[in-house]
Amino acid sequence: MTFGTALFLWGMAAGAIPVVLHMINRQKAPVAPFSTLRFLRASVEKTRRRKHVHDLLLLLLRVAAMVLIAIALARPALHWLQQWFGNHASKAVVVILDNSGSMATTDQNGRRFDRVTSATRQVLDELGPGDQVGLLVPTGPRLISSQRLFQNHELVRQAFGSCRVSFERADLVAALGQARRLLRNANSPNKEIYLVTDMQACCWDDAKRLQEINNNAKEGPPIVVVDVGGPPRPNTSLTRIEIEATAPVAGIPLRVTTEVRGDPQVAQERNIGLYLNDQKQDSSPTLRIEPAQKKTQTFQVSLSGKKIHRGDVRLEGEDACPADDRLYFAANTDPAIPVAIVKPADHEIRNLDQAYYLERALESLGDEQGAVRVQTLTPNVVPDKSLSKFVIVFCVNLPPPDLNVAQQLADYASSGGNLIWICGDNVDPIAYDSLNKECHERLVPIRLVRFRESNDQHPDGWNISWLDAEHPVVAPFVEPASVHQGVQVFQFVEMASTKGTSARVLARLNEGQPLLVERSVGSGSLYLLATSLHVDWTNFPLKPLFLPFVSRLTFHLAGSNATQPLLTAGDSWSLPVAVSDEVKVEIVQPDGQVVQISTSNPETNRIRFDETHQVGVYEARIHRGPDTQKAAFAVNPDPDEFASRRIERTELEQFLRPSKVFYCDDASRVSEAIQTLRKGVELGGVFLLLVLVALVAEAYYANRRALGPRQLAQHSLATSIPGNRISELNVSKQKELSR
Amino acid sequence: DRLYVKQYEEETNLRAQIVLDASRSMMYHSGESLTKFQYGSYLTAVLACLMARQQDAVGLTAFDQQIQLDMPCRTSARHFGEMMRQLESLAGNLESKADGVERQETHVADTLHRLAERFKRRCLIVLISDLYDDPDAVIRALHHFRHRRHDVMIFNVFDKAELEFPFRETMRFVDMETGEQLQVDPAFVREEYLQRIGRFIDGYRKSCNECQIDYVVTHTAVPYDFMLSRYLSKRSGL
Repeated sequence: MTFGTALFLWGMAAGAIPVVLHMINRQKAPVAPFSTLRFLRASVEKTRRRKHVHDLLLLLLRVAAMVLIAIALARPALHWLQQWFGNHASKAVVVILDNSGSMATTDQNGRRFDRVTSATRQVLDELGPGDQVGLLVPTGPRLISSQRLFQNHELVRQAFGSCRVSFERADLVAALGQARRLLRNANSPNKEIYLVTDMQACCWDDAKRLQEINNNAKEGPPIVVVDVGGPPRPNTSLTRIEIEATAPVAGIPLRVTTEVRGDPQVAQERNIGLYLNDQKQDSSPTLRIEPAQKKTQTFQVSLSGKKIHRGDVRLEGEDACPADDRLYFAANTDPAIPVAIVKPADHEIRNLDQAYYLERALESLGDEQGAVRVQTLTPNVVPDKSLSKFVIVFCVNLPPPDLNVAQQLADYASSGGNLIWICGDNVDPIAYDSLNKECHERLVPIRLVRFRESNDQHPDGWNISWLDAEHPVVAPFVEPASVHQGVQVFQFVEMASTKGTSARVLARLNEGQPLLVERSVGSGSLYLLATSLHVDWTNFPLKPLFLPFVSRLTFHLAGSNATQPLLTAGDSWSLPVAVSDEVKVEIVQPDGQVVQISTSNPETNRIRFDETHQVGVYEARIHRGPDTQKAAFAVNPDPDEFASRRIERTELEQFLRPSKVFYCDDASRVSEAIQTLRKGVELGGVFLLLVLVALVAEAYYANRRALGPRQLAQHSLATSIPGNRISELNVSKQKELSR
Repeated sequence: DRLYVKQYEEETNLRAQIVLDASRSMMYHSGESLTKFQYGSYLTAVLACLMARQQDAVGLTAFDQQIQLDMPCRTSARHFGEMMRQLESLAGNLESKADGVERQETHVADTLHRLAERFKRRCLIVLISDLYDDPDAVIRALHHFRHRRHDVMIFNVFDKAELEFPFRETMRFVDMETGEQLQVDPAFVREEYLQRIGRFIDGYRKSCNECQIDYVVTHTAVPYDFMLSRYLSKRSGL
């Protein structure tokens, strides 16, 4: 309730007047003699309690009349949006504008975002001079500071004018918390929050945070919810896309699988098209999708050339929301997989070179499939090379490298490379362990303990007795067992136990010793083969298993890099960088704008890009010194945003407690609603009516027992005396008669 | 011898003792009306005059806490004149000592008992009083008179205000006999007061009827002719 002329409220003190008068009158009652008090005394005693109640009631009525008059003169009004004395005071208003992906939906009432802009414009139009306003836009690029309120309304209008529908899911919980924080610090007595939304339930999923916000809010400003959601039109959406590639090699087919979700109510028939670099490559047959049904469609496409390919799948035709009809992907292909082999030096006799069989195996892959390009390096050359261009780096029988070489190898692995260690007689377990510690456990996957070689107890060495049947590289070789059991190992480097580490054993010898271990580090991976590829150590290179193993390992590691990350709008893309790296990154957004990033977070050693508001393929140009590498990532709409489930108002009101919530269902009449809520209901007439009632009641109760002349006559005992009716003689005549 | 029936009227002589209540409560009056004592005095004079003309012996006793005036029954005109002078003197005395004397309640019943013992010869007792005392005690005293074979006639005198209680505003009433004060809201107590005084009068009426005592309720505005007619009615029955 508010008061137009609050000064009159001081008049409530007049309520004390009846009390004071009562106290005075009690003392000033006129004194009169009476013949005897015997009857009066008893009567007073008997009616004492009733009189007390009567007097109290009269006093209350009189006090109430005074107080109510004062209140009525103060012009009370019931306002829902204003505080007690805030009738003409300034306002602090925060508008939360939901521009999440679902706002692109066209329902029976038109496009939702059009209603959002109309409603928000009306709220801004209702601002008066001196009012403060804040605009919170939960998704998309930041248009205006969300940390303060503005008295310059024009600034806010400009930001509002730039607002567009995003493809992200809105975090309305966080927006509400921020709105409350802004208003808590505002000086205005009148505070209002306007939430313009289509009531999508996914925007309120973080209930626990909401509870924390509500628990901390002792009181909340009123919230006006402008519900722009309308009866939906049929809509089908693409919800998921998966890309599989054997290898990121031109010519090797790429599998693109997409999932389509039907309208909740209406069956649909739609086609899906596959586009690559904006050229249509394929189209699905007509899919009949029943209400709420999900279907998948898979395409296969071959990529050519060494470049970044931008692809997308599209739902053909139109429906209620075009924003969810397209999903993007990116693929970076190369004519061949670049692989490096780092070895101490070339042996004079090639067959005795520790890397001989490995090189042959890799070259055979390149010869037959044109898929692998091998470059041989020595440790002293490594510092001058950029390892990032290699998909796999094999370190074969390396003596403990220099620390900077070790750091370079570790950085390569954690930045997304695949580093494979193959032991030999140059490997020093203690030195390797020390280097690994220097490189923060990013150099080798497990600690090396000591050399083991066949002896009297193991005259024939050891055999491979176990392979990890779940791992895609070694799984095909589990059966028949004779395939891997024929591999003999005469010497190997014993590793520490993998318990308590994230290392995964892929192959074991017949006493359980790990032979092949894998561990993920950063964006890349580390592998360690405990034996050498020299025939003195093992017959593995001579076994039929060797070539397919190398092939599977190579393509597996290369294939994981084939496709670029798939992000949801609003997600962050990050790039791990070494502390020593001087990296500059340029991001080319889908609309062609280029954004420069050169600062990494020293705590995480990552370069981060957060402005993934547009959907499409982003291209990252990574400059590391003289080298430039290209990467791409696709950003797609949040599929849950188009799930079309509304949150119930009762549920929403629980989230919005302790604020009072008002709803406006017609976005075109927000101004009217605001005026009604602000103007409120005048209560002056009600209070005057109450005054009248109090006065009438007071008059009735005060005079209820007062008798008029006729009533006096009716109640009088004197009238029962016959002499009264005989004659009416006045006192002076009576005196004359007596004399 | 011839037998004759002689029809004649013989006048009997009545002895009447007028007992007048002269207590402070009888000094009450409302507005411009007579005080109850004045009214009683005038009634006494009227009755005494009538009795004297009828050759009845009339005496007068006036009392408050004590017997203030006691004149035996006589028939002479000089006795009547003396009675009036005494009555007038008593009225003057009562008015002059109205404020000065210490107040105390008048016990009508005790005085009536004493008077019942004093009046040896049978007579008509005309009691003019407001009878503000314990009704049971007063009735017992009246029985005492009847036991002594006296005829009794009571004029229960009130002021009109005592019977109507016409007061409107809150007042602080002072008991004229005891000086006690009591603040009263008349609107609240009127009904209860009237019921109580009604019961008071009805009690006396009923008890007087039972012991064949004439009981007349009157107030200071009632003309005396009504009182005289009641007396004459009583007189004719004796």
